[in-house]
Amino acid sequence: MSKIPVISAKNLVKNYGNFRAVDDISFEVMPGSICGFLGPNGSGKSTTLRMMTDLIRPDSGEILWFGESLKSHRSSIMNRIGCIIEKPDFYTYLSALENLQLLGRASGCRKTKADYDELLQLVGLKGREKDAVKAYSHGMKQRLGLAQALLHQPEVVILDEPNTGLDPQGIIDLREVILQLNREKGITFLFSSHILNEVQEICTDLIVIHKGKMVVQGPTTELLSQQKLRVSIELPEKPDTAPSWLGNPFFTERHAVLDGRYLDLQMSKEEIPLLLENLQKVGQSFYRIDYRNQLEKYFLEITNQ
Amino acid sequence: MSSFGAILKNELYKTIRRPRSYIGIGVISFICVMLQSAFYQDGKEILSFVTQQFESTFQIQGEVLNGNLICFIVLQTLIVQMPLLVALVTGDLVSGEIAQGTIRFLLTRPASRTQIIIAKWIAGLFYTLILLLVLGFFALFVSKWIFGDGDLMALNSEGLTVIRADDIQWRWGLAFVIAFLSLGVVAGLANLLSAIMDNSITPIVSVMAIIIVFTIIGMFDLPSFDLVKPFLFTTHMISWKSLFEDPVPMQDILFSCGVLVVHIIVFLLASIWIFNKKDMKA
Repeated sequence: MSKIPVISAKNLVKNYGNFRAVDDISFEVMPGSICGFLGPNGSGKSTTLRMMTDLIRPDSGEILWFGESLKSHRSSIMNRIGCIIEKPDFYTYLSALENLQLLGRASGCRKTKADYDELLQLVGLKGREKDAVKAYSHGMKQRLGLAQALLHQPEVVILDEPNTGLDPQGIIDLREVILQLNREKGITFLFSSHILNEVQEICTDLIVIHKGKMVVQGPTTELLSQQKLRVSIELPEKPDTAPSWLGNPFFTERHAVLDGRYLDLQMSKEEIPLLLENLQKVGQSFYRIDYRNQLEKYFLEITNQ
Repeated sequence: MSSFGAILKNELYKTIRRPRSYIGIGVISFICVMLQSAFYQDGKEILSFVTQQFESTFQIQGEVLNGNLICFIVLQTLIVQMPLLVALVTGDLVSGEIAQGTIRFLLTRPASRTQIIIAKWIAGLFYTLILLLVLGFFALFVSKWIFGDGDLMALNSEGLTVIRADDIQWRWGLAFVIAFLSLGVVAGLANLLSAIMDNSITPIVSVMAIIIVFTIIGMFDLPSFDLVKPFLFTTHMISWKSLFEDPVPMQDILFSCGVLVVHIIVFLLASIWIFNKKDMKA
């Protein structure tokens, strides 16, 4: 696989009047990755994504796609990328299929009915393709947005908050589609979202910006390995009172919190065997032990919120 | 299909499928039919009242109330409404997509912004042509079918001119060409304002405001206004009427056509420049 970054942003700056929305941001996205693009509201995420897709021109800096300048190779680059910026808006007086056909023509791709059927099946809209888009819910428009982004078989897809408006099943379906396309077709994703659990679940890399400036970039596991894990133990039944074994220094020092049948602790990954040993020592049975990196905590820390 | 061809096909398809496009066609058809019905009912009575004042000077023979006269009246009536109907669609071509958000999909495709704005401009001209064809069909062909052919008694600034029926077809043809150029200027201006603004209503209202202001300037014979009048497109939009004078002031008409064409080109170039510079923040 090529080691040239699919996206390379160099020293991007964008001002709106006196307000500097993006201040000297540089980052790279490697091929085959699923890169989470995070930042609080007003951090410059949307402006950056719009500059990546040529909707907004940077005041200074350079954007390279596949090693080529967006400024001089715009047309060929747009053939290789798909995106949903902000929210997916369609021609409401046309059907979903007509919208896709229209955008397919604009992308210069020749599609058969079978191609459209396959795409609609992938995003879960098969059978609703002849409905006018004005009758679609926001979640359905998000699905159709993903279909239009994938229409011309892009190598990179930019998704700006694609989970917004999706129901829980929709979020799971979207996650599956992204992972499947990344695994089977090697599509690179640049993914912005406020649902940090979802980002942590699927993103191999993270970029975090704040107040228009770059905060951190790197592989998700590497960035989060510096953080304590949140370990959750599921007990067979809710204890009437706090069990005596919680008085064990191991639990107290890690600020154990008992919430119904669940006991939550913060610790490093290396301490998990010690936890199991302690539970065995006090004779406490359990159904399950789960652990999770705390992207949310990490995000709030690095963005000083 | 080239990327421009595909974009143009899309723009024409959207123009045909948009419900708003049919408002203009409906209004024109309705006004034509309404005027034709009114003249069918009461036309002879009204005309005899008008022609009475000339009967002491010369004798009128034949059918004054004919298809050519109805077409002339319809054209004079609709010259005020047509720009609004054109702006209703063309003023929304870019700004409507910005307001709706669909512009983001369009601009993240391989076609350049220049190709997109030109395709939209052509779609605007296509719509203008359709409106004029509908107007021509109802105002001329249907009127002739209902009221028959005959010499045209045209009352204009020069007085009363009688145009013989066998000398009128070329005048109608040229009148519709000038009307197309005039409305092409309106479509171009609406397209320009549409590229500047981010909502659909303001460009439409702005086009009408500009036309109203320019028309008012054109109405007054004041020295300060006389300086700018030759450069206002509204001054030349009514030059089609000169085709129904005798002799036809062909030099003046050609000059007006030239001014209209220059306006069309300037508006198009300005649209391309602005659209290429514009940040799509919406």
